[in-house]
Amino acid sequence: MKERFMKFFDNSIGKIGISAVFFIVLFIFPIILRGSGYGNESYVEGVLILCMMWAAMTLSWNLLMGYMGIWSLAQQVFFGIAAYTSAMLNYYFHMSPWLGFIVGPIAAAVVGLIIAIPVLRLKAAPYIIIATMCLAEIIRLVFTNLVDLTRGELGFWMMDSFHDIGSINFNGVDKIPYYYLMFIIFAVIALVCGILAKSSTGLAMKAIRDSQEAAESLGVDLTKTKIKVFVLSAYMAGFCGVFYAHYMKILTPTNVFGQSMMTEFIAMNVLGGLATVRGPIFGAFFITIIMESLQGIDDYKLLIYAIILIITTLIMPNGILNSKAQFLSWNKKIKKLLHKNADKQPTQMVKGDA
Amino acid sequence: MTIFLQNLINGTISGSYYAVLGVGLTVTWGVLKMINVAHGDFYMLGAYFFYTLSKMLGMPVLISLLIAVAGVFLCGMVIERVVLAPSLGRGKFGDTPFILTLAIGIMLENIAQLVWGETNVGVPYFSDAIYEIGGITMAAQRLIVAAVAIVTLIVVMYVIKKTKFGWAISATAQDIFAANLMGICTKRIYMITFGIAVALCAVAGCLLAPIYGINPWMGGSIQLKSFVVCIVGGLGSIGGSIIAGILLGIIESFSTQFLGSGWQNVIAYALVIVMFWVKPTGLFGKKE
Repeated sequence: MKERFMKFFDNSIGKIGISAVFFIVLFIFPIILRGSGYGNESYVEGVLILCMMWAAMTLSWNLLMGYMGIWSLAQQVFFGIAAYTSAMLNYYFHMSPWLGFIVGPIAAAVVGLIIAIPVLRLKAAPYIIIATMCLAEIIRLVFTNLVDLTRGELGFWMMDSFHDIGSINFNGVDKIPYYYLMFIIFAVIALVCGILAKSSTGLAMKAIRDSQEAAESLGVDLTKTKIKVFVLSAYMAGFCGVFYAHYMKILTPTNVFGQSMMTEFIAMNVLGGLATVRGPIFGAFFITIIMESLQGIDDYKLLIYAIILIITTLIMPNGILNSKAQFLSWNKKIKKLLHKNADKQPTQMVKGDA
Repeated sequence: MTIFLQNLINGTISGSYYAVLGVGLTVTWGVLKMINVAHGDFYMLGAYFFYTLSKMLGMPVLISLLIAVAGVFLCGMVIERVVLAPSLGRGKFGDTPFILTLAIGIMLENIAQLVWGETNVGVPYFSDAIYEIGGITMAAQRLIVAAVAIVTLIVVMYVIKKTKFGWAISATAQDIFAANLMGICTKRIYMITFGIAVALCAVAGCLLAPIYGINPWMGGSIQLKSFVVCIVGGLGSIGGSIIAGILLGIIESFSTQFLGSGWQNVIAYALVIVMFWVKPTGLFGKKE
């Protein structure tokens, strides 16, 4: 029974089945929630919107870090640039927030291109980390200092919500429209990541991660692949940024460009497992829900974050979902230990075997 | 002219601290082969230890300085042994230890918030005297600070270049396998090197605390500036870090003068990008 159960998870049909069930459950969740008569549905939906948003962001970063091994710590910049672009165009030029979904991601992609160019020259991971951290900080400081345009640290809040489409009302009282909007963005990003990972570009990305020299000698165009993935990753992050701008309706440079958001993505991705599609989704949902349920002990939140990160990195460097072999070996060890305590005889046998 | 000289001197003094911080980071890099993103948080920890000892317990400045630095040195060694040591040398260069230092940074910041509160605290100046020579004003505090920085740098250089222990560190940095064969306990070297690197942060934290104040987030910008120093000086080069640190201090002092106070950090970080374009190995770095 157990063997069959395990096999089901390894099977590709099983995997597709699980992801299909996951998305269907997510799709009908608000309906179940309302049907069950639970009083606080708008709060639960809000948490799930956040889960999906961080999952989509982490997926976009996973393309760079997980699949291609480029330690870019500037993912939050793409998010922030798209958010500010859409919000400021909306306020200063009265552009519809829906058009933001076209303009914002393009702005993010352009910034991605600008960041990709200096990073392309660097091969060692630490250089890339330092370069992207400094670029992110420069952009944060520029947005903080241009007080006349962005209101600096006071926060930019004068943008509209998404305009209503027919009878669908985006005023924020009912979270259902936002929920399904985010669901569509999240599902499309997850689908694109899944397809990309299987495509030839995905293989090229993995080859670059394992060895740049070997990949180049086998005819992978390093520059082209890197730029393509950087731009695509920024473009995806841009969608989340535009959604965030008109959903939260307040943007501060520290919030959207700060290093703390990047740390969240790293934690989610490392926890769930790099270079998979399910890893970031699991990590984002797990951490967001845990953090949301720990609201009472808000002061210790970051400490718990750090401890999760340390423990995962030390004992499960591949993430929870990729550590099946590790779990099995622990299982064996625990069984051995229990066996030892229960009976002396087998202990000697084990020793004899060794 | 006076303004020029004043800026030059102020820049050199704050630059001497960037040099101290940069040397710490570059030593970690050279020996442990990882980058430490919690560097700035050890700086913050040193400042808080100093504040606790000198202001809350009322100890003399010199003694509290020594105890604070020793405390951070011990913390660094314990953290290296418990958290970093199991992951060093695993996987690709700098990947896993990097995530761990990120987590250590968050942890230290959060512990500081819980223990000392989320407010700015201050330490009184060591000396209130102000000297004036030819129109250039000099606070005695800044002179003391510069003197301590120079002494610290000389001591570190001496230990690494002239003592047996320093040779062991260099040997470990060059080739860990050969160092092991020669009977050097590289694990111990790793632990002590990390301790020394974070103790250097603590020295900087203690001495700059009276000038800049103390809060749990003070490590953030210092962190990036030590990166700037490391890259401009060439990663792994101690002499390069010292020169780059002083250079950064001077550039910052002049850009505050001419561009206003919001923009000096932008210039400092832009320096890294320029360096990557022009010469990625840094001013004094060796070719890889």
